[in-house]
Amino acid sequence: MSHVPSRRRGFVLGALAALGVLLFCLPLAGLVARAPWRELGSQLASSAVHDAMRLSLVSSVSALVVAVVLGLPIAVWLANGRSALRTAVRIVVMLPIVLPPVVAGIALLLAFGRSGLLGGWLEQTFGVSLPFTTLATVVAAAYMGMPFFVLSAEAGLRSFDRRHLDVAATLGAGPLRRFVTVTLPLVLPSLRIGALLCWARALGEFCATQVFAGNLAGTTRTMPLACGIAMEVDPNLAIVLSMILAMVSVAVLFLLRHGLQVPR
Amino acid sequence: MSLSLHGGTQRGSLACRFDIDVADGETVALVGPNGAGKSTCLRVVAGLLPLAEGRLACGGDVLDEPQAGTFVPSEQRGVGWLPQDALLLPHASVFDNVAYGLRARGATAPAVRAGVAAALQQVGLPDFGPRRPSELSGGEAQRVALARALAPKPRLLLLDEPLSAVDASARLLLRQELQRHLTGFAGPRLLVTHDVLDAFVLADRIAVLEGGRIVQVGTAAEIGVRPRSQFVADLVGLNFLRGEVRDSVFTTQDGGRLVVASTVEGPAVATVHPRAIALFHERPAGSPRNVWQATVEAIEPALTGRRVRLAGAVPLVAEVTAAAVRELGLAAGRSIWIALKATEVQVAAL
Repeated sequence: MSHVPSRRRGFVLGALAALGVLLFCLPLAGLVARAPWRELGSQLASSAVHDAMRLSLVSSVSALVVAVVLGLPIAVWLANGRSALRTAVRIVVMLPIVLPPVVAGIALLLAFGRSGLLGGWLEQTFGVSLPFTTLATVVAAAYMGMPFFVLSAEAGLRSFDRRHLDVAATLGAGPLRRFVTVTLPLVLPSLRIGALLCWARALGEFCATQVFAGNLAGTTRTMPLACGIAMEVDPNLAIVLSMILAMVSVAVLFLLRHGLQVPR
Repeated sequence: MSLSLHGGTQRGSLACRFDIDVADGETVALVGPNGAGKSTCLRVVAGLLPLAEGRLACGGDVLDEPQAGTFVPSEQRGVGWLPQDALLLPHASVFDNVAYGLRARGATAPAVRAGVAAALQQVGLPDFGPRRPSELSGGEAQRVALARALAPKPRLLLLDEPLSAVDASARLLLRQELQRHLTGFAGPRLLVTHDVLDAFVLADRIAVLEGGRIVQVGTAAEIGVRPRSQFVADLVGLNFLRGEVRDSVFTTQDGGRLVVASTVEGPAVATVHPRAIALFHERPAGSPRNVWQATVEAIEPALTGRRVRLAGAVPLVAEVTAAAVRELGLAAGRSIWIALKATEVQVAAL
C-alpha cells in the first residue's frame, strides 16, 4: 500500500466512507420525502393504527418488564463467577441476538404451541393456549429483547468497583441492603442502556411475532406487523407507521447518547 | 476490647500467617513491601476474608475461628474501615454517605441527623452535608470517609493507606488530623501504610510484614535501631547488611569484613547509619577500626545533603554535605577512602 500516494489513498477512503454513509441516509430521506404529510392526521386517527400502537406499547413494555424481572437475576448470577455452566447459559441467553427471527418464531411455536413441548401440557392442564394471543407477542418480544438487557447488565455488574460493597459491609449493611443501595445505583447506567436496547428490539419485533403469535388485528398485530400488511394494501399508512417507529428509534438513540459518545 | 489475631489464610499463592495483638487505644502500623500481605491482614480483621486456621477475637468476642465454625460476617463486626481512596458512593450526597452506617444499623431519622452532624463536625466539615462526592478534594473526601467510618461508633478502626491518595500539601494537615482522631478513638487501631513517616507519627508500634508473615514488631525506635530486613532498613534509610559475626568481625554475604563492637556470635544483621560513614581523599590516620578503599557508584540528593552510594564487598550509602562532595571532588567512578568506627555498626543476632 505504501506506493499509493497518500492523497489518492485518502480520496479512495473518503469516497468509500461517503458511499457507506449514503447507504444509511438515503432510506431515511426516502421515508421523509414520501411521507403523506397531508393525510397524516386522518391516518393517525384510524382505529387500526390505534390498535397497533396500543398493542405495540403493551407488548414491548411487558416484554421489558419480563426481561428485567427474569434477566437481572440471570445477569447477577452470570457476573458472579466463571464456570462452564455460566458460559453455556450465556450462549443460550445470547442466541436470539444472532438467531434469524423466523427461526426464533418457529422454535417458540415448537415450545409453546399446541403440540409443543410445554404448550401441550399447558393446554391440557390449564386450558391455556399461548399462540395467537397478545401474551404470545410479549413472549416473542421478550425472547428477542432480553439478551440485550442481560448482556448490558452483566457487563455493568462485572465492571463496577466491588470495594464499595466491602465498605458497605463494614458499615453494617447485609447482602440485600448492599445490593439495593450500592450495586443497583452503581450499575444503573448499564441497566438503563440494556433496558433501552431491549425495549427498542421488542418494539421492532416482527418475524418471530408473526410466526409464533400470528397476525390478528387487535390481538397480535403490533405496529411492525401492521406496517407489513399495510405495505400491500395502503402504502401511505405503512409509511406513516414507519415514520413513527423511526422517530421512536431516534429518540432511543438520543437517550443512549452518553453510551455512544467516544470517551475522550 | 483488645484485638487478638493469631491465624492464617491463603491469598493467591501467598500463605499468610498473622500473629498480632493490639490493645485498646493502641495504634499498630502494618508496613511492608507490596504483596507482603498488609491488606490481606486488614481484610481478615474486617471480615472481608475468612481465616483458614487460627483465631481472631475482639474483646471477649470470637470473630473468626474456622475450627470452631465461628465466623461473624463483616456487617456484624462493628469495624470502622477507612479505605485508600475514600470510596464514597458517587450517587449519594456527603450526608447520605456518612449516614450509611447509621441507617444500616437501623437508627431513627433524628438519630441519623444528629450522628451525621456530629461526625462531620468532628472532621471539620460541618457544612458539607449537601455536597456531592465529585465536588470534594482528595483530602476532603478522605475526611468524609473518616466521618462515615466513625459515625456508627465502631469497636475498632482499620485504616488502609489513608493518606496515599491525598496530595502532598494536604497530607501534612490530614496526618495531624488523623493522629488526633486516632488518639480520640478508644478501641484498637490498625493502620496499613508504606510511608514510614505515617507509621512513625501515627502508630504506637510497627509490625513489619514480609512474604505474608509478620517478621518484626516493635516501637519505631526499636525497629529503626535494629531493622531485621532490607525493607525496613530502606524504609528508615539505614544501611542494612546480612552476614555472620565471629570474634567481633562481621562478614557480609559477599565476603566484606567489618570490625564490630558486639558480643553477638553467628548469623546476624548489621546496620550502619549513613552519617556515621566518613569519606577521605587519602588513607585516614587515627583510630577507626574499619578503613578501606571503595569506588563511588552514584551520588544522589538527599533531604539534608548528598547520599553517596559506595560499591564493594561492603556496599554502603554514606550521607555527606554538598560542600564535602565538592571538596572531595566526589563523582561516580572515583576511588575514595572510607572510615567507620566499630561502635557505629549496630549488630543484631538473627
